[in-house]
Amino acid sequence: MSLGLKWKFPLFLAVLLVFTTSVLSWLVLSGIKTNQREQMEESLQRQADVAEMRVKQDYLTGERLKPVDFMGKQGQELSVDLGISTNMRVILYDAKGQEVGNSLPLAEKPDVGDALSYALKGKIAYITEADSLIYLAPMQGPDGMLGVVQLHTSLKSQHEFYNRMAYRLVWTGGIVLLLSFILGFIYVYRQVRDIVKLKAEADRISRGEYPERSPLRRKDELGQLGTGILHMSRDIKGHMAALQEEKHHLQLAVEKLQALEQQQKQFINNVSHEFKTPLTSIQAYTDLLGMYGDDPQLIEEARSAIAKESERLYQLVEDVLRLSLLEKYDFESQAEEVELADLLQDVVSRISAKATKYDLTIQTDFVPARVWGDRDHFIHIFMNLLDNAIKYNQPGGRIVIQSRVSGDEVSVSVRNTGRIIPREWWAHLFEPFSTLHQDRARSTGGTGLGLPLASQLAEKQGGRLELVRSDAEETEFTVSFPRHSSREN
Amino acid sequence: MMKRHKLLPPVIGVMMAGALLAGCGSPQSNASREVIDKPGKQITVIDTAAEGRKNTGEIQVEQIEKLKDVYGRTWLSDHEAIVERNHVLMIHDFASNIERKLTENPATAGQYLAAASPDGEHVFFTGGNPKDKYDIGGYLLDAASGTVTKTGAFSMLSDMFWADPQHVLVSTDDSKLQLIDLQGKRTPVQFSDPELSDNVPRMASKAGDRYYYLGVHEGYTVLKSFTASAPEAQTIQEGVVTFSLSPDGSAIALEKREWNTTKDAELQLIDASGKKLGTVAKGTLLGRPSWSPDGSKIAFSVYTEGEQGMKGMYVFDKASGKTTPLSTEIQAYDSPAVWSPDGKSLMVYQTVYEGENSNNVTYVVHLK
Repeated sequence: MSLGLKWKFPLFLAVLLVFTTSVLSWLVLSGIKTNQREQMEESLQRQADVAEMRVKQDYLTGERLKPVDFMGKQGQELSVDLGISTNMRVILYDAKGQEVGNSLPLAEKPDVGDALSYALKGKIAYITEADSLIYLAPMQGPDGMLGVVQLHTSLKSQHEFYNRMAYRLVWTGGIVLLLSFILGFIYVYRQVRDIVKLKAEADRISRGEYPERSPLRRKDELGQLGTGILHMSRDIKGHMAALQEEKHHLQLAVEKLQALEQQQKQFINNVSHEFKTPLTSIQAYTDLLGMYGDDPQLIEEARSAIAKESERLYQLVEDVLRLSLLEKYDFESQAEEVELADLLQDVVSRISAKATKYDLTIQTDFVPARVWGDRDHFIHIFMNLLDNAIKYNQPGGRIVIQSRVSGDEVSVSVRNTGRIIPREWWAHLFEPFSTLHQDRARSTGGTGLGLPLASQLAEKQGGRLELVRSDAEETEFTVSFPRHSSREN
Repeated sequence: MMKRHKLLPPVIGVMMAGALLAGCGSPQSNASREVIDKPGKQITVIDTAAEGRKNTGEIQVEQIEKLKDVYGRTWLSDHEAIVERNHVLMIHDFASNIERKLTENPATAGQYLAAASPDGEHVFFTGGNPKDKYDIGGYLLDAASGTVTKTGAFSMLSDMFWADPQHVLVSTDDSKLQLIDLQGKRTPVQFSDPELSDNVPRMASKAGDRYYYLGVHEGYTVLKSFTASAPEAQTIQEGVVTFSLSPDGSAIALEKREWNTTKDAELQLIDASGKKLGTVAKGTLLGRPSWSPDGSKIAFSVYTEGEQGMKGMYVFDKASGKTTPLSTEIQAYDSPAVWSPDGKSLMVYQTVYEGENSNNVTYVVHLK
């Protein structure tokens, strides 16, 4: 398990603080100890020097005795004098280690044998035992060693001072440690909290959630990092959106291309089939004429059939051309204001002869309405609709053509009592060469391109062509255009 | 790679701590110290010989002699000193411990001061007029013949200084300096010091052709100097209480004190031009320093208030810079110590109080 930053930093801080405070305390305490010892040694050495000087000058002054004899004679007096002047217990030994003077003869005498043997060899030796210190220093004279001076002092105040300092250091060190740790922890916690926020932010971006605002409200490096993440996230978001859109466009284009390809194949299939049918008929008649060219009845029948079929071919070619041109180019149509009622009347009068031939009655009901568009296109649309109404009617049937204005729209409905167009055909009714046309066209001599052409022309004029109903009673097509108001011009 | 980086901070920390402890650790690196742990106690042994702390210097006291009720004045030879006992100058022989009078037929009512010439052939001493004991005169004794020559009145404030084996330099009450030759003839020393007015030029000394004395400047004593060719006295050091010219005149030991402060007086060494060479000692009280005849040592008394500090008589060795205590008992501030011609003995007197009685004691310190 790895510790998070939240714990690593404070722990590191704590270790550092413990280390620092211990080192500092140790240095202070050892400094105190060294200093105490040095001061004590210096002071005692000075006292020993004074004692030595005192003993020596007594020895040097006046009658010269042997050092041992001098010490034996003067030792007690000197030790008392030195005890008064140094304010310490003073014991004097001669050069043989024999005690010759004691400023406090009745007080208990500790064993100083070890230290004394060092002092007699000319070295300073002192014994520290609990709070007491016994200092032994040799005293040199001009004729060799005079003896040893032994000074007694107390270390109690030094030890008390040292212990007090140690106690204080431990306490203050502990408190400082605790406070620093708490403060450091709070500080580090806040930093780490922000870092965690930034990390969460980065995680969100990787999941595709883009933040709107910088997660941190601070001015330092972390704040700048937050702003940087925000900027980065915005850029990523923008790029992702652009990619999606691009992908969508490509998808659409591919679909359209596929549809177009399909449509084109279908169209070519249909066209070739449509062209073949009349050509087959014509070819059959020319073959028959070759074999039986002298039969007047056959000649008459062949002429009539060939004329009919070539008429149909001609119509077919014209429709195909018109349709393909409509699809490819925007015809430069000659738009003008057209009085629809007059135009419809004209169309009806042109077709009425054909209706009479099929024993059909045409009823008209027009209201005056103006539209804006190409007059020829309007005529083509209505001719096509009325032609269909005649072609697919039943003998003795009826055709109703009616125009209405509702709001800003002018609609014209063409109804006939013809065959029912099955519901499933409705969707493909306005597609060129859809299968239903082939059946219909073959039996009626249509090209199968009339309705698609009419529909496209209506759209060019800003209108639409719809099949509204087809049942046992009647079949109704409606074409509607935006109404044109002359005031607009 | 990661491992290495993780290890780096602790390693640096340990190294830093090590450096810290090494730098601030115990300053006691003395190899002469030995600590022996015993149950319940600890014995620390310091080898003083290894530390070279003491008794290795060349100055060591051989013996201290005490002469009661005499004033030690001067040395006639290495073992003979002239002392004043009951207003009579005596020659004390330390070899035999026999004392004899300096002059057999004193022409004076009382003899006081005495200074032997550097070659020991003559002694200049002072004596009183039998008719008026405050009428002090100077006399010259030829040691070999015992002839005494009168040199005229001697100011009680004057010092006598053998400028060379033939001349004694003395001050007069009328602010003049005079050189007395062996015939007793006085020659005034030409110099000018407008600030001296009617003060006596004290502690007048001479080395080569340069004279030194304590004069006055703005009410305080200063060390002044002049030469025969440039007789306008110049102050070369201020705040001087006493001074002593080295035998060759190259250095001056002086007691310097800042007036109107409680600061310790300093015993300083300066060169002939007044440039400070160093401080020898500090103390609440300082005696007049005294150069050994070869100019290698200076003896002085010092007393410092408080537990620490110098107390007693010390000898400063100019070559080694080391100051050696001779005795804590001797603290003479009335007169300087007098060195024997061979520089092996020092004579100084002081008043010793024993109860209600005061006693004048002359100490003679024989050095090894």
